Amino acid sequence: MALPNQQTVDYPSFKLVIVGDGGTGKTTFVKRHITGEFEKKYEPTIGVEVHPLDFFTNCGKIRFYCWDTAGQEKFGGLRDGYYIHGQCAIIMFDVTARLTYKNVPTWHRDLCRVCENIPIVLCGNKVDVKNRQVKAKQVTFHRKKNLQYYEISAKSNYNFEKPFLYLARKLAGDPNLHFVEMPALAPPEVQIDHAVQQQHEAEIAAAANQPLPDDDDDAFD
Amino acid sequence: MAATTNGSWQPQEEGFKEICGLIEQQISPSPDKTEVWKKLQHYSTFPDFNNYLAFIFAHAEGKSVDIRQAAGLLLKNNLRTTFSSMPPANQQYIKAELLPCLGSADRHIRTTAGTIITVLIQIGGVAGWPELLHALVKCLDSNEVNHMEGAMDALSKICEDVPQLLDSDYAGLSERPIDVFLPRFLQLFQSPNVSLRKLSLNSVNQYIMLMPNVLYVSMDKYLQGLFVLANDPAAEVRKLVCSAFVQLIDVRPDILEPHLRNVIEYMLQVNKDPDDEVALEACEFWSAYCDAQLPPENLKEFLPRLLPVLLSNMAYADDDESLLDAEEDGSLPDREQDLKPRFHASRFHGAEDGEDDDDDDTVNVWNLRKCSAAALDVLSNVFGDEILPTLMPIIQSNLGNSDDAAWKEREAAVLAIGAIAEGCINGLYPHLSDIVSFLIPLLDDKFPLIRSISCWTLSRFSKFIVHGSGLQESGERFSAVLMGLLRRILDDNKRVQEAACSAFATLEEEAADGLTPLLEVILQHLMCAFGKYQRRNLRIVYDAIGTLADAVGGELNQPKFLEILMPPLIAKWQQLSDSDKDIFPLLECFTSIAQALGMGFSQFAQPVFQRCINIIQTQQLAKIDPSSAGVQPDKEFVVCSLDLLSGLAEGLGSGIESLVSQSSLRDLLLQCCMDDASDVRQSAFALLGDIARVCPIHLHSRLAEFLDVAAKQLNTEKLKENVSVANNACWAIGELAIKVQKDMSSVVIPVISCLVPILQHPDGLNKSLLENSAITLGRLAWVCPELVSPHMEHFLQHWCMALSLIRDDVEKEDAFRGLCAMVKTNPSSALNSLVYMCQAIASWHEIRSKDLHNEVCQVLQGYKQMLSNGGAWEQLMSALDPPVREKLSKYGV
Repeated sequence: MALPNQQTVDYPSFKLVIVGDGGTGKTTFVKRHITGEFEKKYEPTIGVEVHPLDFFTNCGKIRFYCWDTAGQEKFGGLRDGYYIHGQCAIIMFDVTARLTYKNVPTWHRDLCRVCENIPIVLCGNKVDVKNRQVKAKQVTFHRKKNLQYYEISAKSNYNFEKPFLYLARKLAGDPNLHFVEMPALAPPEVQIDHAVQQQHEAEIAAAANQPLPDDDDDAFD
Repeated sequence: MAATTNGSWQPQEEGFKEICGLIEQQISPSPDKTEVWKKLQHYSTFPDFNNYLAFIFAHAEGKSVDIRQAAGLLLKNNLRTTFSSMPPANQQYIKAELLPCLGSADRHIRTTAGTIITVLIQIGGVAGWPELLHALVKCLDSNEVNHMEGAMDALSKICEDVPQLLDSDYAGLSERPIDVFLPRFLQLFQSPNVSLRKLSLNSVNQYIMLMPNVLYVSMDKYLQGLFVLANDPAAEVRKLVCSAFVQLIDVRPDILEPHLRNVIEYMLQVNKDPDDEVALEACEFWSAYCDAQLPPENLKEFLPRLLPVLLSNMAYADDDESLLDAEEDGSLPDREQDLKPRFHASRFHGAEDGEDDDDDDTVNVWNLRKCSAAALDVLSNVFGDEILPTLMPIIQSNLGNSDDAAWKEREAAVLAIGAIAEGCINGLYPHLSDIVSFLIPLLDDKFPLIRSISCWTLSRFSKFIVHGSGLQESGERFSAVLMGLLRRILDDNKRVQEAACSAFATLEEEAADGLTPLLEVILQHLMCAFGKYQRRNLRIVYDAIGTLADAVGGELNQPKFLEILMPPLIAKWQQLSDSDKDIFPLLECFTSIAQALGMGFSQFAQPVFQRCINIIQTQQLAKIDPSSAGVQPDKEFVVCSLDLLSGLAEGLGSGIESLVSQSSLRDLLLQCCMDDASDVRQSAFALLGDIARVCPIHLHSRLAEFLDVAAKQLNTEKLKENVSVANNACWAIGELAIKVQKDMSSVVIPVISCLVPILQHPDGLNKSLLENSAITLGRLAWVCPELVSPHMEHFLQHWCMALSLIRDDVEKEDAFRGLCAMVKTNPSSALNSLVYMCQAIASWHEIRSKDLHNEVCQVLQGYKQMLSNGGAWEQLMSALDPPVREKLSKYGV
């Protein structure tokens, strides 16, 4: 889809909207690809930042224009105004902060009210942190809404390309599409960043008191 | 900047243009928007900024729809926070501008209007905007498609977000809003416009949970409507019909019961819907039916048609990610991004509460295959063997089709056998021998996913494979399955390796020391896999080795086994640096091996012990000065090393003494007991307890400090957050107590005063901490009865209750030694709690220790004598349950 003022490229490009609560790691995730570096500082995104991310598939190059939107209400800018013409989306939550999972339905609803019927991936980030609060079995939202779910770690790169690959396959309508070459990702960050940790501690503490609905219909395995 | 003409607000051209321009730049894909946003924020301080947005949204006909939509969404977001404090004139202006937008010719404007209206009614309620309901009704009744769609879109969002708002009484309204809307919604089920059908159906579905009276009395009409829409050309509508039936069966099965035949017929049909999402929604029905506790008979007659559908839906879909994953070349190294971060669980003394998180990502995959298999599993649990006469012939026929093109059906048939392994075990049992014989060759199938599913399905029958009937035959079957799985462990395909290791682990746990005769060949295969695997699966093979060591224990301690097992592990051990995270699973693996080999591990112990000490030392330094330590601090290294030292202490027993005596372990351990990180402390106290058991002498010079820091773990406001640390510290105190005896005296009272509240208020703490507290209290009482017994009255009742819950073992013996010692010192204090004491004594199945048995006899007989006057003893006995009385007769009373 041609967007106004879009810096055009001669290969397919798609608008990808990334949403989710503040501090869940949206910017860090996107920047793994661009700079290959793990953002240690936490600076809340103001409004939105748009990053073009190129991937190389067996069917040629494709570009995702990633609209990395602000998670924090006070820095939200146009918020769902940025979703207009979104062709695919990632909803991010933080497996170490319950509240961020509880808010997923709201992000999903707002997204679907602007962009109907687009492929969406739900990502549980920070699986590199030892004491997670949202266990894999408690993640059931994607089942009800037909979303794809991936556990990821922006810190260790775990499953970095999976959300992009899923969306590329859906957008291309080709389940056999695959990436032939990966963008260079920085070596995974092993060091726990105490500043970032502390940033979220208050939030995590608040979220700890929020009970999760215990509706995990036991997964079949 | 506002200009008012004729009392109504009008925008100024300049402001209008400027704001439109800024919004346009905001939604354009230029990378940096901060500056533009600042300007927009400047405008937002104007009191009529939101009027501008409403005007742009409603009237900027010359501008692109994107700008208008963005203005509308920004307006909506602003209203959330500012609407209530806005001047009434502005409120009125915005509301008045919004209503006509419901009928806009542009769909995006209509749906955005619906979104904004939903937020407004959420803020101000129905009463705050009386014109809205009239406007919505008017639109619905207008017969103009755009108006109807706009109104229906708004209503559908209101029903999703705040359904109870329409199902309430309002002053001035003769009926609830939903009473007015619901008949219109039902009417719209028949609209030729697909969007109206979808929106109206979605709106009604939101009320299944609330079930307002108007829906209840219109139920027949609703159900009729659903059946009319059941074959709608639009997949989205069919999906909503399925969702309605699934919700109804879940929430109000009684309503659906009279119509069940029709509903089931329909569900059968849409389980085969060409649209995947419809089929998936429909597939949820069967589990929901079983959960609703409706009579199974009603479903039974449909099973011959349902089971084939489920089975065919269990075949991999073309877009299943597993299909491509299975094609991965096994010789390709794993990438960093394929490795899921994993964690070491700190050592814990006692029974864990078992809140293991499955770190297998497949737990979250949800698709038609998984949902159908889950439904089959549920059905097999409800109907048991009754499904077999229908299911087995289909499975057999699918398995019999050896055509390459039919491999997915064969794979699904194997999955089906595994899915019913629990529910139909009785009916399957007589045939299991044949089934297993049939599955074994499938382990060597040319399709990797058939090989991997066969591993899983065989593992579901582990009990039969290990303990099954017919000695001769059973042994052969067991070794055939085991050899088959071992072959697959060496498969070239990574997914098959994974499935085989996992199946092997299941079989291993079931077989335990039954593995001994095959130990050599098992070790050969595992160590071969160890050399062959890439990083991801290497972790799994470490686990398999660890589990094997746990399962066979000392049997492993034979030179011919150690010659296979140890050299590759030692080579790896030497190859990895102290700061390489890949060393964690190796440390864990050595922990299991050290415990299994016991003294047999001594030949390997020295370098292992020394390395653990070095790692801990380096990490302690790294915490203060990473650059001189040369590594980044990471507590996981400390935790794994402490746990391996515990494994050595447990395995070598007092044989570890010479290593401890020549090391700085004591001082390092004390530091670890004081670490900030709770998992480091948890493992440190576990090691403290283990060292106390085997060579307490080496702790002696800092005993007071150890006891002091251990007691602190129990005396904390954060007990619930650090319950595992407290648990291990509590246990360690008890272990120290029975070794150092009177040297404990300084901490006895402070510790007891922490333990008593735990015994009195165990809610929210784990069972293990309660048990350890009871045992440690008893051990302290045993070594210092004269200090503890004066306080006995305060805790005896709760303590005895906790002791009653502990199974027979040596720790429980210690606790009862403490009980007897105290009661002898201060018999009258126990008089009020005698019932509880008798119950605690009766909780023993058998006291193995002769001397303790005698002591307990003496205590009971002492009380019998003390209470001999006036029938007090008989009174006590009659207060006890007969089984308790009977147990006490063993002690001569």
